[in-house]
Amino acid sequence: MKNNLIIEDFLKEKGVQKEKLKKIGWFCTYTPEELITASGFSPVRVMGNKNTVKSGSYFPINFCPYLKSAWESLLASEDGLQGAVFTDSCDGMRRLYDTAEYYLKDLPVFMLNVPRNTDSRSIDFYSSNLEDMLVFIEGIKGKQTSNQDLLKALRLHNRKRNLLKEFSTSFFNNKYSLDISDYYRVMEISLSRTSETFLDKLQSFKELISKNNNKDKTRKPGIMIIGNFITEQKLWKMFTDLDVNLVSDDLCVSSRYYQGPVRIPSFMEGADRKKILHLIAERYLNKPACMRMSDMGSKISQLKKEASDNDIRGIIFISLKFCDNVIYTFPLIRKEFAGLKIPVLYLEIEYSNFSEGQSNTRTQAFLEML
Amino acid sequence: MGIKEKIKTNIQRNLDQRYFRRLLGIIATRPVLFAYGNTFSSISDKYLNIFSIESIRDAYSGNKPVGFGSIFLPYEFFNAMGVSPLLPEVMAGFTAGLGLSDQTVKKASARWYSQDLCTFHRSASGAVELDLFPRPDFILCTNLACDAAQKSFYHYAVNYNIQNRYYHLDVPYHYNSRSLRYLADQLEKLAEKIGDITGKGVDLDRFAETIELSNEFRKWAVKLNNVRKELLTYPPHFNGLNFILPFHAFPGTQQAVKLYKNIYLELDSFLQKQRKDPDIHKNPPKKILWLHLKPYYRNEISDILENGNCRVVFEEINYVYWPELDPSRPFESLALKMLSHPLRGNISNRTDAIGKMAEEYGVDGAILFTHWGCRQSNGGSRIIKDYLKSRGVPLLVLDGDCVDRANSSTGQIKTRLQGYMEILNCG
Ligand code: SF4
Ligand code: SF4
Repeated sequence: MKNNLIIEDFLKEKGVQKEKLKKIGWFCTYTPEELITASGFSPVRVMGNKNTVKSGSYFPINFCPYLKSAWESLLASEDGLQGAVFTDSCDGMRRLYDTAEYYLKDLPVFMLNVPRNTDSRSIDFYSSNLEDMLVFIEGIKGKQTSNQDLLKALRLHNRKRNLLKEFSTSFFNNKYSLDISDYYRVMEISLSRTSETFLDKLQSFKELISKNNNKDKTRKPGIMIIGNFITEQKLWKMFTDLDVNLVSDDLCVSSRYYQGPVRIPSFMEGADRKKILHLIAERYLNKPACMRMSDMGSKISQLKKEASDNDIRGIIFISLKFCDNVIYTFPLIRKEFAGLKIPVLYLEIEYSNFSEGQSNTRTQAFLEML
Repeated sequence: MGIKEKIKTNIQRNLDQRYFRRLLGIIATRPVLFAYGNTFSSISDKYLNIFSIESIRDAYSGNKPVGFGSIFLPYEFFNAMGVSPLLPEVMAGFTAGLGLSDQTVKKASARWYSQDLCTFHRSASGAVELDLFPRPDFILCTNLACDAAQKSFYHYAVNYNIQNRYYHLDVPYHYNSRSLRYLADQLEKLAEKIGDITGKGVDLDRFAETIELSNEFRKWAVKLNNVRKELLTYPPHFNGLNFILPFHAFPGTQQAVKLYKNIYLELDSFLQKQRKDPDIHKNPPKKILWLHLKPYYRNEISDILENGNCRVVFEEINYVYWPELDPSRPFESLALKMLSHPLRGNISNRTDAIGKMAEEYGVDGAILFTHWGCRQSNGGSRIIKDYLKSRGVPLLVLDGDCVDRANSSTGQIKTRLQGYMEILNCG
């Protein structure tokens, strides 16, 4: 079933448009959207404009293509943002923030410092940084955010995470009439939608695409995708056409975004702001890690567990070009999975284009080898 | 063939850690070092080379615990803990100087390190894969300045199978009292862990002494930098970009004090002579501020600049960016030193520092060497250019690679430098 039109139409967030919520942009899954939602804004992942024209004169050629695209859209004020929250995820992101601060004098920008360690000291530190982020958003709003609103936002985002997790689990278990391109299109849309209306629609959408025959016994060896911010529809289409049996992923656009709820204790009503921010900090530093975190050992263990739980036979490692954190991880992943006799294919793509022919041939050869 | 060329050729032929150890054992003995020291044409170059060899010899000697450290750590910490530091990125610079980086980079590529990564790290990774470095007792890195170290250093830990002794100092983006505390706490806890590894615990008196020595080094470095504000004639082969090892790894040692005091005295004597030389003002060279690093393999950049009557009067990497430290509060002091680094956080920290240097050294122009794969520096080149332009200082962005000669276009560098110098000399 071709769901493209249905997805676009079905997931359109009319409710939000009617409310005309103002938008605050974000760029990295370590940004707690809860704080944006609680303050009455709509958190929107800046997807960037893939047709980069002006970015080339601001950044060198060997610079993260996502960041260049993001700059292209910021420069053209395409997303109509009231403000933007950056994180110090990587060297490139720091420079994107600087560029926005230096050249876009009218856009309020904030840099959220996200620790790279995850011990209790780092969580405490991160939680005080969240206080600064909240103050920044309150500054745009011109009003303090209440604890009730914070708690409400926590619950809303938890609901979203649960729904996305159920949705992904069912997709990976082949319980939907949905191909890889459609799945990632939904995930992409979800990065910028959080209202109750959207979540209700997602719930109904799940029901609509459910199919009765669960596991297809003739399916091919299970594949896991590991990478960074991959939103290349042509790539997903290529995987669909090659009938890749995708059973798991570790990507910013998917599992690293929705995995792990904020753990809200039952008696929270009287909780103060500090406590709430601490809960958020715990969630974000304990969610499945991005390769920018320091403890690579835990990351590799998590990926190995994922591979063994899902009977993975091959890994496709996809990186946006010039993403140091991810590229540096590849030799390690290759080595570790070689020990488990799981081969890894390395694909590198630009944000806006990739060599389709070559990737297709290599992926096909890889799949045949499994 | 001179003694230095002979050593170089032998090392290229015997790419082996045991050979290095043996060689260091010979050349780092007093009489040989003394004879070797006499082959240098200036006092500063002589001390720089002797102390660098001694430092590397210590790391290879097996007499002291060895810690791998990334370049932007405060090495007072290692010196106070009685640990010999080995800086893989700096070693990558040496491998380039010794003509070995073809081999180290090739090894890294064979182990799937992408060609798009910074070659300081790629080359060092290749050297680790080739087992050229002494085995570390622990590995310490930081995200200060760039992301590269925390990734490549973890690979080293896996290589030596010491993942449980891989430590990462998480340097906050912002500078405030909260981040100072956060970082100071990490340093203190880390000292306890390293103290357990060395079996010597943490000696706060030694920390205090080390920080006093660091302040003493800082005093001479500031005096030296002040002399350079006026200096136009330098000892032969003087290149401020060669001081990356002592400036980073020696603070807190007697060597740092001795080296910087001697360079100061030497350059001050040049300044006194210069002041008496009326000819110097007839056709003074154009003053250049050098940003980031340089190629560490043999290259023509200095000659090209000199022939075009341009003189690098200061280098960003020699800027004393931190205040005097408090010996009674070692961890806070070292945290403060790290947080004061212009490459931490927002690029305005760097442009503010560059602006000060441009003003204090009265430069006519600046050159930013955009080392391939260095996202943190190159990603800010447009801002640096616009910032300096607003202050009337033209910036040349010079693309190249500090370690891998094959990744730099000599012809293009030459053409761009010549074009730039023409503009400067006409202006
Ligand atoms: S893809 Fe990599 S380089 Fe690009 S923003 Fe994300 S972490 Fe940074
Ligand atoms: S050159 Fe740049 S990327 Fe390489 S080690 Fe230095 S700061 Fe890091």
